[in-house]
Amino acid sequence: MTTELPVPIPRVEIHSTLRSAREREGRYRLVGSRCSSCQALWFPRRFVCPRCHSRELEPYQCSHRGTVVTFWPDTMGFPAIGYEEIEDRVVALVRLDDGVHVITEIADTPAGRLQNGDRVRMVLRRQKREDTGNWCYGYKFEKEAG
Amino acid sequence: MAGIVAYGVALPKRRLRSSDIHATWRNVAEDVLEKFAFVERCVPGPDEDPITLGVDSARRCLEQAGREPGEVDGLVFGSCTNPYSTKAAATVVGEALGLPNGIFSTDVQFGGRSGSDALTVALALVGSGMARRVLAVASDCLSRHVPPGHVYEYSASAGAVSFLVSAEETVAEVEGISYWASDRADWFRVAGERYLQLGGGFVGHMSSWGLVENLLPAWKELVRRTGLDPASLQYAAVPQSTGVMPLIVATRLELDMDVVLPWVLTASVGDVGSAGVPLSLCHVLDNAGPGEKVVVLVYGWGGGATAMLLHTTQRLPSLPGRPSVMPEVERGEYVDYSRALKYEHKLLRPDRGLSGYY
Ligand SMILES: [Zn+2]
Repeated sequence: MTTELPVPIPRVEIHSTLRSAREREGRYRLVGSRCSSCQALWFPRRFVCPRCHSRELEPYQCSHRGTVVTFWPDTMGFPAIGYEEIEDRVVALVRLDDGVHVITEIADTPAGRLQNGDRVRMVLRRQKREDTGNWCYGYKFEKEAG
Repeated sequence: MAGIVAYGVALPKRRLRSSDIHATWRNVAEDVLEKFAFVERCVPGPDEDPITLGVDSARRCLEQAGREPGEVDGLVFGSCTNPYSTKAAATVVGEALGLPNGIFSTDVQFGGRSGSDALTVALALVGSGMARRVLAVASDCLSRHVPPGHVYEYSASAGAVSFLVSAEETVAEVEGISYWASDRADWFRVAGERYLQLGGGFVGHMSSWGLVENLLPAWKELVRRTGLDPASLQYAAVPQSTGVMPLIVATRLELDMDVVLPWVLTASVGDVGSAGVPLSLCHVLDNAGPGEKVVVLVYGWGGGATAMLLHTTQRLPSLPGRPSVMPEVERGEYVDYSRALKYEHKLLRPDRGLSGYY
């Protein structure tokens, strides 16, 4: 199977195809939750509001643009499983324009050329493969030009 | 008549110099690189493929149009290097963009014509009244499907272009369109194979096997149908897999070189597959003024050609986000050949492991 396009399927810390599919709206385009009772915004989506414990939450489309609050290069010594093809992997905390915070990977910009406060926009990228071998797509952020 | 409302471009950031490939393989004489305009090309990152690039270009297209995803009622995804056989890729693209679920969406494939065929289908959907606003996505990662050491490796690249098609608010309208198809196994992958196989030849008279046989009749039919005077053309977007191909096309179709060559991007980005001619068209639309004529000539392996005549409208100069092509072309960062091989999954690795390394 993978001799077609040899991208290994990890054996641990795997994405399940079924769970992946259920959470795809969040992963593909940052759909979180808004609490109908206290208006708090959440990402990833919640079924119970962590602030007021209401169960009345509705899907909320988070902003696709934001600002880097802080970032850290992947310096664990061994690459994260399923992500070893990307050298200089950078993970960041991004504050979206609607105030929601997401932890995300920064695509295509090494830590040396990133600064707190940089403007970023969401992009779709391929994540590590699912347990079945299926491709898994999800958000990353990219530094905005200019 | 239906036409293009907005367009978006996405190219991978990573670039590979032809000289880097040549240093490893030395499989052609050095002056061949120059003759074919093999200078540099895009390398898709390990996390990029036709779906991700297609989504990125489509987002930019919607932004340029100032339209919300909910206002789109059709999606056609054209690629000859679709990450999926059997399963639709359009479902991933549609959901990633947040398009409504109750719309027509599909994948189309016809070699290098796949992307412009998506545009043709979108025009048909709008023209027939079946849809109001359709996204046509042209996206390919050819480089992953050319084996290491093949001369096409210097050119095969990756990228995506999207068009929003509607009958309202157009910046370029279609005046006429014609086709020609005849069976040629010039480049192909039989089902299950990864690497492209060359049926004709890369150089010599067989290199245009299929190209001229299909493009010439399509072009003649377009001229006949529209009454076009080729001398009145301002712009032409033509097949540009190699730097030689636009010269063959311009010579055989008797087009003015000044109309063709400024819009050839082979030396900067390589062969972007079925997004290649659409990219050239975007480059034209970035620079054209209102009321100008543009011919779009496309060839797809297998083989078939499309010839399309467009004229730009008064709305074009006020379209935001122009230019869209050169900023993408110029933002490249170089990687070396060994990293390109890794990113394009050309190094053999274990199928399953704790990680890719151990
Ligand atoms: Zn609440």
